[in-house]
Amino acid sequence: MGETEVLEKYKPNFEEWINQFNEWQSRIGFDSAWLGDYRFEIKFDWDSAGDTIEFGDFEGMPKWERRMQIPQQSVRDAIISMISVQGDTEFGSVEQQWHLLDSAPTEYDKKSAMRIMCEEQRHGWQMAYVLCNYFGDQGIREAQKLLERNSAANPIRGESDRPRLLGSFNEPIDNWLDFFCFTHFIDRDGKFQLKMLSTSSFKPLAASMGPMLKEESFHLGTGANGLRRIVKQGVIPVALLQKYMNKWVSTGLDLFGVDESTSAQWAYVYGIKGRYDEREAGIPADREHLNEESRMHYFDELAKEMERINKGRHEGQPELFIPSDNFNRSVGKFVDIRTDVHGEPFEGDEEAWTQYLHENLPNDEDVAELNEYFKEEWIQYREWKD
Amino acid sequence: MTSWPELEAMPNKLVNYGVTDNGIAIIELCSDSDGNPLTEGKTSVNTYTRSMWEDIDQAILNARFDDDVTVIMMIGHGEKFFSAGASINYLNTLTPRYKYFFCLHANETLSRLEQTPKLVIAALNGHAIGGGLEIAMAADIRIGLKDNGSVGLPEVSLGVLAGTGGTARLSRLVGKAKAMEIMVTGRKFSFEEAQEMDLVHDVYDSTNNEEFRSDVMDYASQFTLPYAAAKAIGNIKRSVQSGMEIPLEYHLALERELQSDLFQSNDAKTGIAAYVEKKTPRFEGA
Repeated sequence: MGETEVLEKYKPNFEEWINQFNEWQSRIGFDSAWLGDYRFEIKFDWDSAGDTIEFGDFEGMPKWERRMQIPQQSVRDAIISMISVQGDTEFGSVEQQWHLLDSAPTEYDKKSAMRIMCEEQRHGWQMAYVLCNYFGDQGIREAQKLLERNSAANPIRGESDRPRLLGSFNEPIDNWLDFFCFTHFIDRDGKFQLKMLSTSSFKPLAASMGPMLKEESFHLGTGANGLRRIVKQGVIPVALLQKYMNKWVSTGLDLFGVDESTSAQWAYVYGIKGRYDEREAGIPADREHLNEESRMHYFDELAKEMERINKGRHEGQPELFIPSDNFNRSVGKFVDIRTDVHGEPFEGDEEAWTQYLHENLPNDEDVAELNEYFKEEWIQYREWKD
Repeated sequence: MTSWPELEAMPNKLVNYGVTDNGIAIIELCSDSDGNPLTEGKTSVNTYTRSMWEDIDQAILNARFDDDVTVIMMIGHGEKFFSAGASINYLNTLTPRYKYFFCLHANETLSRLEQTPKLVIAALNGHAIGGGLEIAMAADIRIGLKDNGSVGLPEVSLGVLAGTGGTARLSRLVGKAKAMEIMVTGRKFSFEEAQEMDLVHDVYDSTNNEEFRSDVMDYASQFTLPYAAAKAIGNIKRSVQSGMEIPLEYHLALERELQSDLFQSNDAKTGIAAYVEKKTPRFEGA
């Protein structure tokens, strides 16, 4: 990591966006008093962003520092789209999660969740800033749209509110087990996306990623740590926990996008979004299977993380496992292929499949059961240290 | 990140001309308030006389015939003016008949600019008043430097009209009602207001004139080879500039012919093949 630049002054168009942001907080139910003395900042790590385009058809050229330097409108549009989607997820997660603050199991968890929500909003600020500052009227319009959508999972929603762009950010996060799963699985996906943008040909985007990645590591650490504490406490049965793993792993895998993605390929051709290990890979990219490759890296990391989580389990308890990447997929080549959680073909009829999903994904009875466990000391206590 | 080229004075020393490595021809207007070549201590106002039009005309022809040039950028020398239009002191010395030929020559030169199938960008680094705005209106794209100038056609205050294509082009660009109001009042207005009525395409908030030059150069670079299909851009320009002035059915016929010309070009083959293969095309302009 290089030295982080924190911007001290903003241009009027971003000041105007900040006013809209303040309105967004009230509209979606986030009490700005919860922020305490947290101040949103725009941070860039220019050193780690690099000076030369690292991959794609423009490899070797200087990285673009301003909109006008981007050689084609199609490239500009792709960058704007990429930043908009990233920003959309940041605000979406806050809309999904803020309502959990009152039911936090410990002060530690409440403060952790609060920090995550502050930092996700900062990431949204960062993306909005890049749009407003570098992309003229088109960027300002896209930055406004980030505040106009509202997660379908937000308990406070207007009837005409449009949902967030990606499915995972419209999924309800009903309880703290969902919260830990979300931060462990979905924020980990976020880490992958940020890392892939950290080598971007558009320098302000690449320079935004260093500070964001640093903050994101706390978010997914909170998720992994929370799941470890739940397993160590041993109150919630492993079988019930497993259903939540089954639900969130498939959602996380879907977030990487379709197989043989043309948009991922174009993003690579334009040098906007690289591979997860772009700087270390050492071999040419398989441009037609970029999403699949990222997804496999993610899947491997989930398996390793699960080994750590399992270390805390009580004697005689079964191990939690990461379900097959073929199971319950809504995106990619396995959409129409039914497999069980171990990846074996599912042989039953429609009714049997519905029953299988009922038994392997959280259902209404599971939620009711979980709510009973929440009345106990269901998670290992942990002290908050400032 | 294209560098500004070395500019050389045209024969009458009222226009500086040069071409960047990536094929952007720069036509820089450069004169004092009397339309004479700049001398020490004088400010660039970039007013024009017949001599400047001769230089502009020659510069346009140089750019037109240069196969390496795909974009033409017009800009004013100095920091305050794109161009203040015709030198009033110079006009005052001319007979009505000479003035008529002077306007005819200016009109023909701007038509030459308009008919050249290469994109023309007017970089409004400062005020574009009277004939200055008339030159800018013959360009395809106009970009202003924020808080550094105004536009207007104030000829009415001299008892004349904007006769270098001003009444014709302004009414076509902003509509009859708006054009009338602007020209009968002769008011000057900001680049921002000009942008609201689509007279100016963009206003850059570059911090100074030097940065503005760099920014418009970067903008112009997107229309150069090999990343831009310069031949297609030229044909789009021809279809719009010529087609708008003829009945729709003839315009559609012209459009078909221009498209047919492109279908036979290497650029179309390159562009379509690159899209299918998911590569960034490298165009040749032919």
